Amino acid sequence: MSINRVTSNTMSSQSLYYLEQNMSSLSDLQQKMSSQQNINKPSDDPVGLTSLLNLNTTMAADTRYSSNIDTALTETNTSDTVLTNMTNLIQRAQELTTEASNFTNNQDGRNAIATEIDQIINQLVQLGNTDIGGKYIFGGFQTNTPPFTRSGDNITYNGTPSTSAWQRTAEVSQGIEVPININGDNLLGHATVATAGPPLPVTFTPDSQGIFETLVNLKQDLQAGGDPNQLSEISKRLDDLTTGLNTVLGQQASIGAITNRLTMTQSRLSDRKSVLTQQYASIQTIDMPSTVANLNQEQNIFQASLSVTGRLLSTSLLDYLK
Amino acid sequence: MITPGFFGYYNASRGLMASQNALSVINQNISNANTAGYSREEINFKATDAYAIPSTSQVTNAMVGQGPVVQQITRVRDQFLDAQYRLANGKLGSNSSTNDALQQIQGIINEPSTDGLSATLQNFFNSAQAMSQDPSNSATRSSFVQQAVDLTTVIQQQAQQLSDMRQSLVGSPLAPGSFSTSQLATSVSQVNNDLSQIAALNQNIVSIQSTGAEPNDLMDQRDKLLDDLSKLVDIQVTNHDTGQVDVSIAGQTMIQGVKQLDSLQVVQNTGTSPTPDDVPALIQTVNGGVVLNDGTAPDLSSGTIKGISDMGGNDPNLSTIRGMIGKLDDLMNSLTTQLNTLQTTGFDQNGNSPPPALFVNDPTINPGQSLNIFHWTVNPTIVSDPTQVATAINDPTTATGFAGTGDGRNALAMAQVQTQTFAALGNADVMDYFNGVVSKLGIDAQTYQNTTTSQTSQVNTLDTSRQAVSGVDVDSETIDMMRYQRAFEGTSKVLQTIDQMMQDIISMIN
Repeated sequence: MSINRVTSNTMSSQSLYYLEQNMSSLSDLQQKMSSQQNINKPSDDPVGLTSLLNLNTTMAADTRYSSNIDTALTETNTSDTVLTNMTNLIQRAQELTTEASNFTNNQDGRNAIATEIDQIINQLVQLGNTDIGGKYIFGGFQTNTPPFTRSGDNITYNGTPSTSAWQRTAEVSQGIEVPININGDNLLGHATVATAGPPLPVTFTPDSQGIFETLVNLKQDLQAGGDPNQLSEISKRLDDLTTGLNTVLGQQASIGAITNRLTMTQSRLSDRKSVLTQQYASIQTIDMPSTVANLNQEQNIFQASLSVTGRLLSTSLLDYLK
Repeated sequence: MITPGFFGYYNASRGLMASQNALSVINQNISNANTAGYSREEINFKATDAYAIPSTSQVTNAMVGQGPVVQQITRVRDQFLDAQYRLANGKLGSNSSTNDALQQIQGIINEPSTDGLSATLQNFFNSAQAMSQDPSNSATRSSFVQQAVDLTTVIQQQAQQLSDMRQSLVGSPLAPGSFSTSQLATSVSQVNNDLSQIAALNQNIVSIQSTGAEPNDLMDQRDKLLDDLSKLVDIQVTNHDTGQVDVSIAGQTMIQGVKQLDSLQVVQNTGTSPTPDDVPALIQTVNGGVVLNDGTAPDLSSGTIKGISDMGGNDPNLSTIRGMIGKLDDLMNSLTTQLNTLQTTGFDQNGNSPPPALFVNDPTINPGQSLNIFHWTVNPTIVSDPTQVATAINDPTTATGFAGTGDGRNALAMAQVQTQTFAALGNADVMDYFNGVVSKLGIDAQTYQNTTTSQTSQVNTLDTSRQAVSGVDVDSETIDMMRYQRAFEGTSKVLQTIDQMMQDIISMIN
């Protein structure tokens, strides 16, 4: 091959071309360094970008599920505390009932117990109307109005009835919904059928056994006087109280199970988050040492080409003709 | 017999003139060292016919040289390299203009980022999910409505930016004035301008060459114009011995001999019923009436104009501007249909049904018309009153259908639209669909970026080869200059000597 004729213009345009190329590599690296991201636009790595966007979607969904679980846990934990308090109240009612069945001829004593039972009813109504930031948790979908209202010995349940279709749920993974609430009627029952308020298609039968019904009956029995028959009625109520207690304990157990499930899902999500974050980082986070090394290398190349360009372009035969 | 006395003067004068001519060519070369398109010139001498001196002693006559004459001043040019350069230059033109447009689209689509469409979609669905958890909370409702507004704004803005970009690239039927100001029209008028200059130069070159002279500068100018033209559009150049070049574009003859037969024009594509999916602007030959960019032969195969026209066109295999708007449109329609169905069949916070649609056309611009991506917005009624978002489902087990304000099942269904697949989106969900669109854009942009880089390098290499032939090297010109300077000095010395001899003889006469 013959020696190519290289003119001074060739040299300067070639220098310019390569300087531009070096500059553009430098600018790419600089962009990576300052954004700390490998992929700054789709063409940087279309395949990596697809995984990146998918990871983003998954991570965002997980973050959302995790926050759903947090909200749900607030509710289940509150429910759990409330149920413990209810248990204590019902146990107190059991003690009182046992006590009352011994007061065979003491109406004053029975009246005092009746008053305390009445207070327990009030406290249960209050607990049944527990809210989290204005949202009543035992009313099913009726979260804006207190689920229980008491008027005399009538305790009305205003919430939505407890069937699985009426359960508030939290989506904790894609397509997996966990029920998070206990409907009040299931828990405490009611003393009367709701007549006003929201449409309740499920008809409550007046004799359905709930703790409210039991307590109101108990109170009325105690107030009724020392008829020996009443006494046996009173001791019968003990069984009803046990049934009511078991209902509450049963609901507490299921809330506990839900809480467990939520907590486990939460920890699974957090495990997955660390894996996903790692994957994300492996695609998107720049490898600092190698990027810095590349940057230095590119800088050296750039400086070298600048210096070569400077030397070559400044030399001319004319310098030596004096 | 000796040579006639004054013979030496003529010989020397020719030598001096030759050196002077050579120096003037060197002067021209060095002066034009940085002129674009200049080809270095070479001076060719030949010895004049020798003069026969009748010999007294010999049979044959002695031949005495009469010095040099300038035979020709030619430019040094390799037409084969020119053809190669123009071919590569045209490919560079189309690739780099496609690449420019794709880079611009990437800028508009703005992925991956925290405020692109992908993130906005996620935020929107997340807010629906949060609302489903606490539908009676006004904060979650407001946040949902706000995210919906963000979503419409992002899609609307991106579509608008893309549409503006398309308008400035190839014009838009919505703004008829844009056809004459578009990049496409500007490039086409550049082509016409170059063509008419080439035709004029053809005329001059032919008339000068017919006198036997070499119009080097004019030919350089013409070659420069052809280079420029090759970047804009694919041209075929035929050289003729008489000096003229014929130029055709995509097989359509534009210049034949000294006559310009045709030129290009940009016309609005009216079609039978113009749709936004049409190629908005057609490139036509004025006299031939042949369309060069409608996908049927004859078709442009390279050049900036092809790149611009491709990106402004509707090629389904390329992430064209119209294609991107169409993808956003599909996304918008799928989302709107699904979410509006959920919204209008559910119950709002106060148990009212049916609530108003969630997404509508901006009612101040074109109420009641079918959905338009540029006017797509969240229903102002809902923006001003977020309680009207239908978070509750229509529950057939209840008397009225409304289960209560705490019912977030419809909101959850809205959130789950995120993972729902749509036939209109190729059976993908909205996130996957958009990811696919961005990924295709990335692949296209990467491909054209790489091709542009390699094409630039090829053009650069070919230009270097051309420079090796035609470029002026100041150093070698300087060496030549010294050569001719010495020759001039030597000839002067000879002349001086001859003159001295003549004086000696004349003084003898005195």
